[in-house]
Amino acid sequence: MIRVLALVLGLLGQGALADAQVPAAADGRLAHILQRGSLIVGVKTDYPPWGMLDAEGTIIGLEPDLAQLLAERLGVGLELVPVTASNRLARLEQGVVDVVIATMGDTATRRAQSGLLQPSYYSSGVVAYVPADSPYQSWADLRGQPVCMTQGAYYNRTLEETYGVAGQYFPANREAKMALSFGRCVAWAFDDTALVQRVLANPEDGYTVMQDRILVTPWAVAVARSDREASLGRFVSAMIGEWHSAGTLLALERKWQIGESAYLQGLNKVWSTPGACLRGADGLPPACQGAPPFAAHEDPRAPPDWMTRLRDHTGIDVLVLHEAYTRGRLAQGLGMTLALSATAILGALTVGLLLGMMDAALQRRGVWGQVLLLPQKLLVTLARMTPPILQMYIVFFGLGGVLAQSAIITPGAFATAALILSLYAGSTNAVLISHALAQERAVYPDAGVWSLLPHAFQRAYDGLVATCVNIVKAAGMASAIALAELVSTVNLIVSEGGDVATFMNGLLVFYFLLMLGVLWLFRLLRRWIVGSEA
Amino acid sequence: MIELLLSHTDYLIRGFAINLLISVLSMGLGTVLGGALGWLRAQRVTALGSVAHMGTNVCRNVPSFVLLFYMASMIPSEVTISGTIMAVPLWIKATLALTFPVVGFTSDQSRGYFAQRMAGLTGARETFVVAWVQYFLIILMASATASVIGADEIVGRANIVISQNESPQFLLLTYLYVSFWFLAAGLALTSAARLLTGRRGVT
Repeated sequence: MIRVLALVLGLLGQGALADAQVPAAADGRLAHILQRGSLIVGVKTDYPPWGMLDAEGTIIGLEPDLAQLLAERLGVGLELVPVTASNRLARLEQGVVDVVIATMGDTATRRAQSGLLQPSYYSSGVVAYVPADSPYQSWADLRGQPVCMTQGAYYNRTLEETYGVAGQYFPANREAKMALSFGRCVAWAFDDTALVQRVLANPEDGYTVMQDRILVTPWAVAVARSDREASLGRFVSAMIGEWHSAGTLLALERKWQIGESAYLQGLNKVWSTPGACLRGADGLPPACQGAPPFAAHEDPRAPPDWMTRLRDHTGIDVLVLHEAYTRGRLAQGLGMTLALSATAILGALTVGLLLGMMDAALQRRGVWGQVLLLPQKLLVTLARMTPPILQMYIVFFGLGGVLAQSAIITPGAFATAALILSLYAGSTNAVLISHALAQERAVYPDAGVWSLLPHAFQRAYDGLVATCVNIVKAAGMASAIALAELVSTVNLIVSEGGDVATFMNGLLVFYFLLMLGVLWLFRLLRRWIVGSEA
Repeated sequence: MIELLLSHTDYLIRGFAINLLISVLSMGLGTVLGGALGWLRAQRVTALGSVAHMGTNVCRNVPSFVLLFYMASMIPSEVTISGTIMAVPLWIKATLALTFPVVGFTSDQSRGYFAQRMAGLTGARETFVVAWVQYFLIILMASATASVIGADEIVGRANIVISQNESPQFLLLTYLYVSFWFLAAGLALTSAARLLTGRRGVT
């Protein structure tokens, strides 16, 4: 009887207003699931209330509820597996999970990688998180303003190109939020789903999200690519349609206290119109699918021939560089790295020279000299025994925060990084130079500090070069405080679709050559100093 | 404010233990590999020596900060071992990234050590130990950068603690507290080294 009913429904076309049925002749993955007697669904555990852990460590939330509904209809058990944004599609294709319901935005790129199902079951947009009394309350207000962003979000580039904000990229959400708290940007742009929940969870913090929600992207349930058009994909798609028409998703929003969203209300209205959402030969009518997927950035012009040939013959894929936007960014990052390196080398030599000479001059002044040297000794010890990245955070966020409150101009990322690197390497240089001066003095006891300096410099040369090379190596650390130098630019390009292997290997080769270049420059410098003395 | 910070001490110290673990492992692994390279370079066999020299050059010249991102994106985050999927924790990737500079450093130092030994000079071991401890300090400081790829360690944990209380004073206090742990470890390390080399000098 059920078989006959299923057959009839199958002939009528799936979806409609009828309940989604388990196909009688299940193929592919679905046959495997029914045989196994359990459905394995990948969900998030760090995205409350869509997917989270309760006090006992059980996975709960809106998405686990949807997974439960799927398993119940199939008449099988349910197993929930935690997945993350970076592994969810791989887990599907590996066959570790049958279905993924994990806050996944529907993008053109992902559609090419996996079996994303229509209709969408939810959506998120981008909003700005701002202090409640902020003068910036719309995206138009934010044009040209520094806005904190989390590295790797797929909409960052659109925010810069279309909405004209000055993106400040931080490695993770917590740094982006800290930068906002400590006055490094005027707003933090991120998913509205996460930010609205943050506001609700911390009402006393004094932050709000602006009403202006942009770049709305649908969320898609996914199955493996081969199952998209097989019985599993069709069954899950029909279930999502049923959730829309029956108001199940709206009820779950109320259950998890998210509040009914306009997006789901709209889909509910379309899906409850009889006959409106029948699956045709080319899928569902557009109105029934929800918002269109987030489009990939594609340059209409074809990449030059040599780029394609280079990729085909060597695997070196620089196709993204045919866009002027990406090329410009890379050039800017390169310039920033070179400028920071040069500034920090000069700073470290200056600091080293000053502190080293101070040390040599005061050493002979007895007790008072020793007392005057105490701050210098303290600085050298502190600079060497505190991680430089922590020093950058302290100056950038901490000092910046205090200074911002007192309305004094706060040092920017470049100044902060240059200062920290100069002091860090400068304190090592100071030790080297004061040692060298002491050794020179042993040879010429009566000479003044100034006249000893050229020979002392030569004596300490190798050590000074080693320290300066180390600063250039450490300069990438400035990316942690949102300086758009080479390391962070390369990460950005990779997150926007650049070839990982090409860009990461390229970065290593670049740094290798840069070090050789710095060593060569120092060799020239020594020849110049020695030559001018001769 | 101070009570709040002290209540997180346990959490932060566990994070610092990860920093120590990363540093110890990369120093250990790097010393073994770098020692082998240095030994090869100290021998008179030119072919192997130049290969070892090239390897050292690469390790010496590539920044560990860049290697962190390299490891994070180039090593798969999960590996399949006999059918079961194992996650590769980020701290292992950080350890691998920090191993490279240690290889470069130990290769240079141990070449000097082997050369001095061959020449019959004394004090080679002391020179090596003193430089090694200084480098341990540098690697310990560098382990703090592991947080940029999301590895769970003390600086990343400090940022989590800070996000719970937004005053700049609390931020400064927390960072200074974390600095204190690095400073204490650094001072302990250098004085232990002084004790070690000093005692050996006496006997």
